[in-house]
Amino acid sequence: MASAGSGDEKAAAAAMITLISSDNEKFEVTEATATLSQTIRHMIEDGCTDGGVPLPNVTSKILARVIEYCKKHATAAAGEEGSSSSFSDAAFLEVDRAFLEELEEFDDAFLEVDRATLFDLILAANYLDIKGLLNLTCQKVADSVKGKTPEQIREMYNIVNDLTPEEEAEIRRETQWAFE
Amino acid sequence: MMDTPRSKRAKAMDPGDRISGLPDEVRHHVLSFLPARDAARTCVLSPMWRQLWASAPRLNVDAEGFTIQRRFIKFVNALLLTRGCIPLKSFWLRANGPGIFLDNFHDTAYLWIRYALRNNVQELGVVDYNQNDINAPEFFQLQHCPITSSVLKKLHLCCIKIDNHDIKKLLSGCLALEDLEMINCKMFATELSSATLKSLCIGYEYFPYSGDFDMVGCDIVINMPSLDSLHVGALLGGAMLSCGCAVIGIGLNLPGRRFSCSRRWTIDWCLHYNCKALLYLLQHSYNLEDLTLKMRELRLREQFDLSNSAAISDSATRFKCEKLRKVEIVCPEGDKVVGVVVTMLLTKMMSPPEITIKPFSGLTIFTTGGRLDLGRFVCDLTLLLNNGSCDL
Repeated sequence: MASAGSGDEKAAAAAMITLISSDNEKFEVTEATATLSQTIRHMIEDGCTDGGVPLPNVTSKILARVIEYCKKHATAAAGEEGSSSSFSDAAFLEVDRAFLEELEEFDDAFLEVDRATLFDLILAANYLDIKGLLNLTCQKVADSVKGKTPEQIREMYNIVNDLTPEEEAEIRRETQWAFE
Repeated sequence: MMDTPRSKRAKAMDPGDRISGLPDEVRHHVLSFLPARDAARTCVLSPMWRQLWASAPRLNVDAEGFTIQRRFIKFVNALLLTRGCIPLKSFWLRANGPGIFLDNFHDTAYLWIRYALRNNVQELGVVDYNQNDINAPEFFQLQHCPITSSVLKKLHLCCIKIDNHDIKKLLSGCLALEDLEMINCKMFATELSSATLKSLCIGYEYFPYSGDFDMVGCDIVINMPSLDSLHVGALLGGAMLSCGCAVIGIGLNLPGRRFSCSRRWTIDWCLHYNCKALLYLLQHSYNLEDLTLKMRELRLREQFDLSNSAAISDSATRFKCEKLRKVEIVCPEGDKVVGVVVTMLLTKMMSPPEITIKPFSGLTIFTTGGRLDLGRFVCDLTLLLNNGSCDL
């Protein structure tokens, strides 16, 4: 429980939460894993997780992936308890470099998914408010867009260009500074 | 604004177009990982994207991809003018294009920073990248850029010149500042005081500068009662940084330096002059709980006189550092100094903390060409087993 002191760590570690996907599949996870989601953390704090947490926006396929991510990162969070959120803690945590590298490898492998899954993960991370996962997935989309022309981006993401040529020319004129 | 036929807009989104279907705040989040130019260019993707970049609360003004300074300045001026007065959460200015140096246009750069401050920015980064460029002018000076804000929480400065007056004005002018990071900055500051700061980092990474400053013997006072985390990589002046290809090794004379009320420290100097500095710090840090000592391969080891180590452990003066529970020592293989430090901690302190020793994971040597990684080192633990109750 959020209100529990450090003395209750053992009890908290043992507490299990049941998550229920939109297709009614049940997943049992530890509280430490579940609370990577701020949304679930708040539900636990409000004491409304008895009988399971229904997640009508998340399919079992995606929820399984999200839990996989949370499990891995919950272990990481436990290891670096009290880590401040300063800009680049990693820069001087040389000691933990091996561990961070492992985590990075996990993240890279985790992102090896098709585009539809990537967007499902983004929506799930946003809904469940899992900051690390949202950053990871949005960064992946951003990286794919970086340095591309608008035409390339439209093609990559099936964006229908319903601007008339005149409209597009006008916008380009207005924002000419960005296209030079 | 444009007049567009409604009927056409209604069927605007292709079901395969997942990216446009994301909520605005998520698309803002995607844009926050892009340089401002890439973000702004999304305005022509479709009507759903037209205004999106301008309302994004995070802006990365990045010179990457610009080779001509004049073009970069023109771009940023137009960008900020078009964006207008929309609140900002974070604003990063990075002069990371070849030949683009903030000091060359410091008045304009300051206007941009003012723009961010006026839009209530909470996280600000100013990064000048001239450390390796022989054509680089002087570092951008904080003096040209007084930063005052009642909402700014995080400030990151890289390759900026900072003197005592600047830092005083900065810390007294930023009423909510909690996190200050200064990387590769030319620090001429000797006094750092803030009531709000929780995390302070003064670091040097691959910094080729051979310190030509004369601050040896200055007292550096850090007076920050709220500080939770302090990282001091090295200090210029009294510190000796690497020249040419030497590993960053730091000699720092600080008989009068005071640090108050920190709970979590990472320090990779402090062992010179027979640990005088370390002992001084420990004796004056009542709230310290967790200390990491990073010992690099020091070329300047002669300052650490091993023959005097007996004197350290013999001396009768013991002291308390009650809250200190954990000391972690990170060191290269076979570092004899570790044994001395451990002995010193165990004999000098009335209630010795738990000591952990870890190998220094990768020694980075600076060469003019770039980085050279010598690989991993394994700490020679046998060295330490003579020293009693260390927790390995």
